[in-house]
Parts: sequence; structure tokens; C-alpha cells
Amino acid sequence: MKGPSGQQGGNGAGIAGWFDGAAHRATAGLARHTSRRGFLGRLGAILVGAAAVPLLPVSRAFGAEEEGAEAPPPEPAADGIVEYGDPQSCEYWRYCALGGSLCSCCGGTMNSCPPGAEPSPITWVGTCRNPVDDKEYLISYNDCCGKAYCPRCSCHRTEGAKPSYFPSKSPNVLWCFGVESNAYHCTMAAVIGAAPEEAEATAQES
Amino acid sequence: MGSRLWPCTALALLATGALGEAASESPDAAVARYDYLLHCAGCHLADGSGAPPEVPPLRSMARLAAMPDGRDYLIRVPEVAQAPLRNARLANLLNWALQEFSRDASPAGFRPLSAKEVGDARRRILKDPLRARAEILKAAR
Ligand code: HEC
Repeated sequence: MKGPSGQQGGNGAGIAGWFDGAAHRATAGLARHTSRRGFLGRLGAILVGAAAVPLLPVSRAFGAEEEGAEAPPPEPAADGIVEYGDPQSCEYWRYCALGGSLCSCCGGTMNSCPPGAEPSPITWVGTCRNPVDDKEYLISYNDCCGKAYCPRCSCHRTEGAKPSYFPSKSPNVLWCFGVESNAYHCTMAAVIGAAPEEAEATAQES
Repeated sequence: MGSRLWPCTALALLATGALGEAASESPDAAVARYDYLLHCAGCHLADGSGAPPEVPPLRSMARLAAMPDGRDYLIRVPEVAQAPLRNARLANLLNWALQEFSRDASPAGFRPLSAKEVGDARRRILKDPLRARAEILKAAR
């Protein structure tokens, strides 16, 4: 992934590999630790979100033709988290540590590459706070490769917690390796887990 | 491969995983899993399978840990030594990963890595990890 903000991440070939056996094993554990309080909070958020959505100012640039397309409904993600917002906008919460171009406005989604692009196996992982339940989630920024850069939706944010990367493996390197073509097209943003409450108690030093 | 098929598969698998694994996990394991996903999984993938040839899988960890200098090696690999985690958190992560990803069960009598051991070894970052690894394997033969 490019950009000062990313974390390491990338991946996509992975995404299949990432989500398949493996990932779900790793993320399942995190999901288990999501508290009951969290669940109820989220349930509440569905309702609140449903009410709030029509009022949200959202980008109409890409979905205007379809009636009702202007407000994405609260979307339960892979692990059941609830959120709302416009995934085509750089302001969207999951992009807090992303540097690159948004696949969701380049013909793909937060979990899938645009047609003709291929996910790289290596990902950049960061954490972002979901405003709906105020919890920290792990976000995997997966690059889609093999097509020219999608210049439409550049987004560079640095507020997410991210592990520091090492000079030898700078986040500025393109993470499009392990795929057929190294061209960088755009970046996805998949939720791969939630932060367990214990994680903050023994926080990392930097 | 059609990338558009993936999300559905992914969602189905994630849901299955989350519901299927109801067993409880200790807080230490939960933190280790979180630290792993945040600091390591970007390269080694969530299941530790890596992205060869650039990134090795982690299934040899227990085997290496049983060899002379192998315990230290696991800590001195640059990506591990420099992870932004305190010694105790890093030891907890490595001990978890040793069990989670190793193909062979941990060798009998395996002692978990301690925070002190991690603190000592991580200061000696390997300049050439691939070579160090080859030497460890050779010495163990
Ligand atoms: C930037 C990508 C990257 C990240 C992040 C990363 N690694 Fe690695 N890891 C590698 C590479 C590449 C190697 C091969 C040795 C080398 O070149 O440093 C490696 C080697 C290893 C090895 C040695 C495996 C063997 O069989 O010899 C272990 C153990 C390991 N990493 C664990 C971790 C852990 C634990 C973390 C998280 C704290 C981590 N790595 C984060 C890329 C990464």
C-alpha cells in the first residue's frame, strides 16, 4: 500500500485465502470476545442508524440514478458489525489509516476488487473506531492490483492506530507483489476483527 | 479468478466461523490474536500461511524453537524484534503463535518464552535472517 498512512497491508489474493479458513479462524476468536454490551449497543445502532440515515449528507456522485441509493443503509459487515456512512467517501470511518484510492468508488467494494483487478496477498492492517458502537476494529487494507491506478477516489488519512513499519519494509512500497502484475489500482477496507477489551489495558509502547 | 465471488464466500465463512467457535478463549489468547492480526497478519496472513516466496509461513515455529538458537531466532527476526509491543505482549503473542500455527505439536517439554528472554533477544536483531535460519537448520541436522 502506498501512502504514509497505511499500515501494512494489502492483500488480496488473499482475500480469498485471508477470509477462508484462516481468517475466519483468527477473527472468530475476536468476535467471541465482543461483549454482550457490544451486541446490544450494535442492535441499538441498527435502529438509530436506520432513523439517521435519511438525514445523512452523502455523496451523490456515483449512485444518484437509483432512487434510494443516496443513503447506504446500516450495513452489517462480515462479523455482524453495524455501521453507516458512505463507503465512497474518504471520510468513511474504515478509511482512517488508508493511503491510496478507494476500490468502492472504482467499481469494486470494500471487500472485492473492481473487475479486472486482482487482490494482492499482502495487506496493511490498522485499527479504526466505528462511530456507531464506538469500538475499535481491525481493518485490513487490501490492495487491488493489475490495472492502472484509479485516480478518481484518492484518499490519504493517518489518524488510525497503526503498527510502525520498519525502514526495510516501508509502507510506501507498493504491496502489489505476489500477483501477476504489480500495477496498483485501488485499496479495499475489510473489517477483520474487533479489539478485545484487554488489549488497551496493556497497550503497546511505541 | 472472479473477485466478485469472494465477498459472499468470505461472509459465509466468517459467519460460520464466528458462530461455530463458541468456546471461550482466555484473555491472553484474545490479546495475542489481536496483536497478531494487527502487527503480523498483513504479511503472514491471518492463518499464518504467509505469502511465499516473499513471506514465509509460520508453521515451522515450534520445530525451530526446539533447535539450538532457534528460540532466540524467532525473537530476533527483524519483523518480530521491532514490533511495537512490550516484551510481555510480544512473548504472549509468540507463545500463542507457536501453538496456533505450528504444524507439529510443540515439542515435549517446551517452555513458553518469557518476557525477559524476549527482551534480551530482541535487542540482537538479525541482519540476515535467512542465513541465520539456514545455519540453525544445518546445526540441528
Ligand atoms: C512486513 C511484512 C512482515 C510483517 C509485518 C511480519 N513479518 Fe514475519 N517475516 C516476514 C519476512 C519477509 C520473513 C522472512 C525473514 C526476513 O526476511 O526477515 C519473516 C519471518 C518470520 C519468522 C521466521 C519464520 C521461519 O520459519 O523462519 C517468524 C517466526 C515471524 N516472521 C513472525 C512474525 C511475527 C510474530 C510478526 C508480528 C509481530 C511478523 N512476523 C510480522 C515478513 C513480515
